[in-house]
Amino acid sequence: MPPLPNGGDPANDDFSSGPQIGQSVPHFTLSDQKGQPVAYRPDGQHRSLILFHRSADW
Amino acid sequence: MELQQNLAAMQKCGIKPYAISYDSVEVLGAFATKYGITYPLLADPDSQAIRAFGIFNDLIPADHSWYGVPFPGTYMVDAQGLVTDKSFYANHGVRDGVAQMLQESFHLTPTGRPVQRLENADITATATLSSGTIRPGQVQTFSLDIQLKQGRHIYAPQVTGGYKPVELVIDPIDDAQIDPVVYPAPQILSILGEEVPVYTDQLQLKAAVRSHSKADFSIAARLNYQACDESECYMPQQLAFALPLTFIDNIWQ
Repeated sequence: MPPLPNGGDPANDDFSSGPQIGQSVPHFTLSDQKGQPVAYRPDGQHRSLILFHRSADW
Repeated sequence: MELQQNLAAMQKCGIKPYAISYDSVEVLGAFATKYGITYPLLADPDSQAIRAFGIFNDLIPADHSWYGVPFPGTYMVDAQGLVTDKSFYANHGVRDGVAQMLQESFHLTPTGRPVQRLENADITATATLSSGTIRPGQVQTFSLDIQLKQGRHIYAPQVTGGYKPVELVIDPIDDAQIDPVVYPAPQILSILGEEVPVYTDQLQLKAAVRSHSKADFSIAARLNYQACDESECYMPQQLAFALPLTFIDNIWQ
């Protein structure tokens, strides 16, 4: 695999980091590690920690 | 990862974790089995959620195997679905520790973090780290909570005129960057007609530590201060702390 400039990272802090503080996050439904669907919707009761990783594989 | 360590505490506080990557269910399944991960690792192989959040890494060319990855980061979200805090760095190797975010954003005390408590005639001082483990690039917080004995005060860093200010000195660490210590705003005490910046009752001093170390290390710190009450000043004191951090190579574990 050819090396990427700067390892594929942004050169500075001017990159899109998605919803800002105070904004809402998108809803999503994705399969978990067992293939079961997991839906994220705010339920008025639970807070959430939503993490995005590059990959578990490398 | 640290998330797994803190899962029970998070559940108790009603916080649900969701970890998303562009990996397939098969990759995540093998990974979860290998590392004993029970919280949801979510597969987003088409980068749908990654795009919906607006964090698709468009610096990766379409013919590259990394194509589809997000800019890595974390959102803390309230029960109504609004972002209360977030953590993204341009360099993917730098991340806030999960335990640190739980502490800072959700005021949740992470499990298994190092604590050292010292007490003398002036104060009770409790040093803590936001986690007992550190991955390369992670940021953890060293905090020192000081409770002064009734009637005693110590001098804030802004003090002038021969008073000895409180000072937290953190020893340099190889391969780690220690941010300047953050001192809270002082109170102003009138002493013999002079306005003097002091701390009374309680205060917290803290500093962020960003590690690139690939080995276990300790954070050693010394607290220097002189305490006084309204009638006299006591001998200057020094308290020494050392808190251990265990290096972990794998960010998911």
